[in-house]
Amino acid sequence: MDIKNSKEIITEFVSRSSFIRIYSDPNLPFNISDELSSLSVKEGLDFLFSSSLVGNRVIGFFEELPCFKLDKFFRGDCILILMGLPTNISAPTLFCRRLEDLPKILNVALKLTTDVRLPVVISLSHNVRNNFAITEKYYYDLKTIPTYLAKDTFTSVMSNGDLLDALLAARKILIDSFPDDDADKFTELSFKDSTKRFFNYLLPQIFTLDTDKKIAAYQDEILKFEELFTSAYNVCPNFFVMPEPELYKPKELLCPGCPFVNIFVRTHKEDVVYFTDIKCKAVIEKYKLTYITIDSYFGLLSRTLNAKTLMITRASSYKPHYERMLKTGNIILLNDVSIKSIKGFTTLRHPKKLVADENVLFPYSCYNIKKYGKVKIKKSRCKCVGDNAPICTMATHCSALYIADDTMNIDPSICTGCMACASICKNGAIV
Amino acid sequence: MNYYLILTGAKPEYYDICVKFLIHSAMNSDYVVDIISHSVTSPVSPIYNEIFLTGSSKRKFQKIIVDFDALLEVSERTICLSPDILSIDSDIKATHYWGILGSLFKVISDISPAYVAGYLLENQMKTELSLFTTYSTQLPFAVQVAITEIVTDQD
Repeated sequence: MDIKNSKEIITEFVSRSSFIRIYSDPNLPFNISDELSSLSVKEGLDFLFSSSLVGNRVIGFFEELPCFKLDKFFRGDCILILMGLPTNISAPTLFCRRLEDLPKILNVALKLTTDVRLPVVISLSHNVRNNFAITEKYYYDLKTIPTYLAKDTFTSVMSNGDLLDALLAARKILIDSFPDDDADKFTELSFKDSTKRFFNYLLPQIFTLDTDKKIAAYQDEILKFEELFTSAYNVCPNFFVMPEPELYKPKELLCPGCPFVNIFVRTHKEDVVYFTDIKCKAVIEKYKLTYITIDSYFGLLSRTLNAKTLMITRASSYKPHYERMLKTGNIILLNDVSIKSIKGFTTLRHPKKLVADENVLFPYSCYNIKKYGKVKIKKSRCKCVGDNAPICTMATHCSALYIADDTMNIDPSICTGCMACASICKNGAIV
Repeated sequence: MNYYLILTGAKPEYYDICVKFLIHSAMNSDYVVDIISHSVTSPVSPIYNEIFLTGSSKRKFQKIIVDFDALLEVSERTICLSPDILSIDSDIKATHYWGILGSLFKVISDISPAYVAGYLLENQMKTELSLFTTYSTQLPFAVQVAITEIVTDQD
């Protein structure tokens, strides 16, 4: 069969295009590389940019892309793949909304970054991320150039005129690649719905949409579009809401051994305000967490607060100078770097030892979930499946638990033995 | 006849192969296939696709929900193929996926099950082949009656 899924198309592109360095945000669907996943988004971007600056061909996969400034020409090719709509247009950005178009867009991006020596962003819609397509065989450009570092590599800055020339050159390449582009005629705009119209590409400083015209868009996208156009071009088109098709929502599943499940099942308190800097949409939505960075959290703790707080973050984000600010509020550090202990934190060996109101070094993070002993279900004690409300799956959303023969079962190949389900089973059926 | 399929499954590796066979078989039966995917929020979130199979110029589409792991709560009166409706036991190796795929081939009778059967036979997947052929030739009586009623009412 010549039908490929999204991951296969991306993987083929990455493996055949001789990328020297690959950065990927953790937990992205393509699971391309984890060698740099301990870096934050900003660190990952800096890493790729400096690598590309001296002539390496690099690629990065991002859930969200921070705004960056183009002030140098890159010797090497640099492609940044973004899952979703950008919040700003910092570099030439191509939009892919149909998986069939992805190989062509990857090829155009590669040509563009080689010719104009700027990073190129490819923004993928939901429709591209878990889809299937029959794709033509593409032959990607495989040539690499030798690296070169001079004394002024990092200090030489390109002028605004040079940047504008490069962007105009990019525009020419893009007009040749997408000859049917008619952004000035749009009357509707949707990034997520591939049956509606959207831009093939956007460039910094160059905007083509007619802002006097009324444009239809889905309610949830209008805010994103307004943010994008205002921050990138300082214009705000005139949107009105178009009705959205209804979708079924499958039951949510979380990773077996998820640290958040263990924390909330074992220590959840109604009066605590929970924060995290880990970008997992599923847990943020399920547990109604507030996303802030660890520095912002310590800013909150400058004076004693009227409410209890708990910050859940990675051990690699924690810096020793925070220790003197640890007097109020609690922190759970997810051990992503296999550190043995941290001053001021209780080190846990198993999630079942977790207790509330302590600063804790949790045994693992989302990216290195540990596997413990086997968990069994005593079928004679498993009572609540028949009521259609098994508390173990409702509370943990664990993908290792499944119902068969009217009883709960555990898939031992993915169960991590964290015992979160056992801690909430009132009948003691999970041991 | 045109079909609008809603598919969801929590085991990506098995879901992937089943959907590929569905697309392949439909295209070989001269359907125009259009696939839409939707967002997932975690690495283990169920995959959710909509597939439009266009076989005629009519604008009417028969809606079929293919819920490989019984993850959807469907309240409307529509054709729904899931392990609990078809009374297929779920298991770790996802053999039930093949039974559900078989039932879909039974409902969309002009798609040939030969590619799937050939693949399962070639790879000596006996349990999967048995489930697939069972459900692609005969649906449980109650399910067959319910599907006939839904289709008749909609006509």
